[in-house]
Amino acid sequence: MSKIISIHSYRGGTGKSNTTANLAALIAAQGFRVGVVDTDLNSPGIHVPFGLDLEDENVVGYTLNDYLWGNCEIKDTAYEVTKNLDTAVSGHVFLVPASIKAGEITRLLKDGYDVALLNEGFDDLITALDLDVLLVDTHPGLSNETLLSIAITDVLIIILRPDHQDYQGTAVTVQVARKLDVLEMMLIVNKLPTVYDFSDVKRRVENLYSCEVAAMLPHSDEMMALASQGVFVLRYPNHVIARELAQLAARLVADLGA
Amino acid sequence: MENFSDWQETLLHLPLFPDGVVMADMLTLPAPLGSFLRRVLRMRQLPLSQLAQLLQLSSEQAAEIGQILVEKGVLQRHVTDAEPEYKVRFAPKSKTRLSDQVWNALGDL
Repeated sequence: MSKIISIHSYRGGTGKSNTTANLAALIAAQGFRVGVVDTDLNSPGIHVPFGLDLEDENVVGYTLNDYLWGNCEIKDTAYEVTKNLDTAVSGHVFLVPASIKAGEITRLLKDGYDVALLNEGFDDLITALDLDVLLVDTHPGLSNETLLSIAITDVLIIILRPDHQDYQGTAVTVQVARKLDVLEMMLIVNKLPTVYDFSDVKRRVENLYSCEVAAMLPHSDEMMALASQGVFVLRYPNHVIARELAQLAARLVADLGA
Repeated sequence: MENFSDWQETLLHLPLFPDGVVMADMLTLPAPLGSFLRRVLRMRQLPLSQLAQLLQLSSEQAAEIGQILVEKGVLQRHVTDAEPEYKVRFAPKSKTRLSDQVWNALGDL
């Protein structure tokens, strides 16, 4: 049994990729085999916290772009990044990065790609790497590709900041996800000013969307200072963010067994 | 929507999707069909027997509905040694509509 979890936000800059990387590390720390796919093809970035140097051709050959253009199988685009993590974990993390070459990003915009391949690729990756969990880091906002990730996911996590633009956009996303019959949906409120009453914000957000808030993550200077140069929860395991996300990670895999 | 004639009636008014469907179609198609396609998508690819279960029709009736959906361009059918299998037929991603001038300017990237 495996599980696909999509991490999405309506707007950019919510901390989606860092949260995805943190959850991947925490789930792997429980002994699971975790895949992470960067489907944010227009603005990829999750390779950074995993320390994968996409510019080093000795390390990285194919990317997700190559798979979508039919140049390779999706398993050829996966790189094990477990050893790049600051702390040893008992499981494994594999990353499917998207290309950061400007020419390849513009080619994608110009020529497009076969959306069906993305759908099939997730399943093939789970099989090829014997994954327990596949985390999909999506492109923010709503597009056909994002809707596909949302539609086929087992769990949808929507990240928002305590910002009124985020609130409005999240309402749209929640509405669309419900229309797509998403099996399980939860929210993460990120970058909360520490002066806020967290329980009050949680209650308000849950009432607003009729959806559970699974984690409340405070704004953190340590997170900002880390600047994506590593996986935060491994660097600061006792931080409140690490504790919140550890609880969520445990919950996400509770039905998978150890 | 468990009745064969109801399905036939619904599909009668379904437009053609010559290039396949996009995800946005799944949000705008009539409720029983949209819901059906979302379930097919979640199951990735399903044999005729499962299609029949999903539609709550006999195999023969499901094959007929499947055929209409294939002809309308929303499903793909794969013939296997056992029974035919169906999956959602997606349209390729639309190309960005920028002028050639713009792409030429980006050509050196």
